[in-house]
Amino acid sequence: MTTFGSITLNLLNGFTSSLVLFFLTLLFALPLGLMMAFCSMSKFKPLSILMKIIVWVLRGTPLMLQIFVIFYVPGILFGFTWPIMHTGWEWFDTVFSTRLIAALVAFIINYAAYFSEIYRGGIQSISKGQYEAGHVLGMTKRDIFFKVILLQVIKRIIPPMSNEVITLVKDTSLANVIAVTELMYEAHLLLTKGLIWPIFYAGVFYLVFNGVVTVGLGYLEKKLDYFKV
Amino acid sequence: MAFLEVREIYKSFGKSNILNGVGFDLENGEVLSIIGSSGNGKTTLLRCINFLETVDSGTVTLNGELLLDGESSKKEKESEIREKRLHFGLVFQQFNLFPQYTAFNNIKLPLELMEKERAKKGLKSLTDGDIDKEVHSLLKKVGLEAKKDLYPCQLSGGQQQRVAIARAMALKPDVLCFDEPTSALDPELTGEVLKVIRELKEKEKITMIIVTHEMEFAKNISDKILFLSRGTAGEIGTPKQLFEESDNPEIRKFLKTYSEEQTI
Repeated sequence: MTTFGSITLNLLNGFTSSLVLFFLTLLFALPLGLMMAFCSMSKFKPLSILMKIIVWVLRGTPLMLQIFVIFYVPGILFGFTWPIMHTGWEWFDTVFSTRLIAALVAFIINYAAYFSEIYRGGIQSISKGQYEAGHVLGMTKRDIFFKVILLQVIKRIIPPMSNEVITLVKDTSLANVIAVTELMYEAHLLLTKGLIWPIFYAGVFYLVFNGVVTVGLGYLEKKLDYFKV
Repeated sequence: MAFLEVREIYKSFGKSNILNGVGFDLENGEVLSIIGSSGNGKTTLLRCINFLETVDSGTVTLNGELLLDGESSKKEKESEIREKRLHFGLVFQQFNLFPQYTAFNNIKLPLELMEKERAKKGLKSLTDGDIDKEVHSLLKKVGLEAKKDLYPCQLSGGQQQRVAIARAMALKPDVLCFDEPTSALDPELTGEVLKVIRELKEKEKITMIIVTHEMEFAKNISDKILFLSRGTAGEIGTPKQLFEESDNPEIRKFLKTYSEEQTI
């Protein structure tokens, strides 16, 4: 069966995994990146140096390599295997294969490293006067960060973050290298059977989804237009 | 014993000594202006009093309570410093309003946080309605009730500074400090800010320390003037003593340069 309809279903099936990778990576990498940014800005030198080395390695080596390492190395060295899901909910258990979970972990760690540098740049670009104003008004460090600084940082980092998020949509295809059945995996499978057009069809999925992401981020940017930083 | 006593403040950054034992007394309700050329430590002195810089040594005593002691200041906990700094308010040269809040909410935020903390500790605290009323009355004092819902970027520099003054008064500090409040403003906007400061003295009897380059203003509003010279109190006295009677050559030179600049 190689009708348009059945191929659409095949690709949609792969796209589900791509979307799961995309959203869960954002969900975990955004807060993790913020924590890593705080570590690399820490006044406690060993921590900030350690974090800088970690970020250097994560940004300095291919994401594909990191996916391989996370999927294979724990098993080879320590006999650790990524857990198999037994929720009884078939769809969930199929999508969250050990391969997808390993890829997800690699994505989260890798993207958190990139995000942490964007956060750091954003936080350091906020004028010292904002912190000082908070201090002389008796605000705690916590309140100053969450009530004053954070929204200004978010406004500043939306453009660089948009770049990363759009890249992430396409990078989910890298999970292919450990045979996660995501969108490119499905399209490639059809290609090996001699069907060329599904690979372009898959491209349309990425393109449309990135269109939606771009519009969404543009909307967020506009939402924060009411003030200037 | 004076209301505010600042004694022997020393402060250096690396190898450069900015403050070399400066001190002064101020009574409740009095206004002190600090003048002197750039680089003589005026702003640093103000920042030390507001705990934005640690001092190397020296003391600050307010109403008999020792707030700052150079010997122990570096070991103090954040929470202890927070409580002490509430005795002082500071208006910055660059206003430093929070850009994402309206004029109203800029003033409300610190007040709200403070009342929440008081409520948590089981102390008497204002209701939300009371806080709003208080913010309105503060905005009225600086003549900006009509602009309450505008964001800082929609206000002129002078208006922003007036909001900043209202915000600094929100927590009812014992001493309100101004760090060159009009230096970042276009000349035609300085008047409205100076007028507000003058009203605070006349109507509210607020104790103030003002670092300024506006000599006429300093002369008119101040009970005392401190002339800072290389981090020491070059001279301290009434405006009349400094501007007219002093024969300190440094002050004469400073005032002369100043009046020449005015006439260029």
